[in-house]
Amino acid sequence: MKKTAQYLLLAAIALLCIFPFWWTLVTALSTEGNIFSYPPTFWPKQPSLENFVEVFRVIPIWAFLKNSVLITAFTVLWKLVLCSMAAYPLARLHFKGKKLVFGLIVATMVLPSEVNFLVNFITVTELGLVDTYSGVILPNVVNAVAILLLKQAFEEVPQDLVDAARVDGASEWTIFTKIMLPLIAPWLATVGILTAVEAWNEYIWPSIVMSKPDEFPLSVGVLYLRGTFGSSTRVIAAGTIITIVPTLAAFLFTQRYFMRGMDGAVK
Amino acid sequence: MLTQGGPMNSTFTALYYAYDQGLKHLKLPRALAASFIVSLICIGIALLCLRYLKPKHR
Repeated sequence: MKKTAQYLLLAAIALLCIFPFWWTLVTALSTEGNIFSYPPTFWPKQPSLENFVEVFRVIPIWAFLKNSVLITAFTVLWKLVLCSMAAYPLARLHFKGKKLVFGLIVATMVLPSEVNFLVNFITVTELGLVDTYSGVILPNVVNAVAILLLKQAFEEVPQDLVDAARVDGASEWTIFTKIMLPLIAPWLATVGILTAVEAWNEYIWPSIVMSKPDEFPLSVGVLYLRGTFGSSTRVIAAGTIITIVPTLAAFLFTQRYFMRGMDGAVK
Repeated sequence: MLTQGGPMNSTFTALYYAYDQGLKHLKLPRALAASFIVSLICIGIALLCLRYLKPKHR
């Protein structure tokens, strides 16, 4: 009985989470009826792909898509390189001030992102990186969560392997690149996927840094539909669906890595 | 962001104030001061949590 209640509660929460996506999809596929009508309709009336075609016709979606792919790919690449290099010494080396450094990195997790926006905006402006991909990518290439996850991964590698490599004369760099990184590959995949989703969905920071429409990523560019169509909510919904499809596909194919990320965060 | 602080400032939070001042009105010193105060409050809450919610037995 208790288990049934738990399942019912979980099913209700799942429905609540899925509902906005379903409603967006129904809106995008419908061509008739008022979307603000009450009671709302949860099944598309005369389903059609017309709104999707309209999105492709009106905004340069392939250019936005290319920008999103570039930003996401470089964010993932740099984050894996830099965060693994930050996590390794914290996990396996002994040096003065290690606890302090780690404490400061963890402390950044309590700061709200808006605080970072202001400082990052000043830095990016001073470096002349406004309206560049680097301006969008650089502030997102290091974060405490990724360092924490990778630090934990490095700590799980048996010390005997490292000792054996040292006996064979391997340098610290060789141990890091040839032994440690291959062993934590699943964790790197986890961090990479979580970062990719985060970078793909990023909206506020790119909209602050970018002002030229041809450089917008998809998440920002799709909002152009609002200006183009005035109140055509159906076309905006279609644009939103196009934006979230890659993220959903990534989630469906890499669910276990997402779960590993959650496990790591809980531990 | 979604509500722009409205209606009638009912969703105008301290962080939105910092964002609004810094990135909309480009009053960066004021925005940084606001975000610094918010940061101090966040760190204070985090320290209180660490102090009182720490498990007794590890």
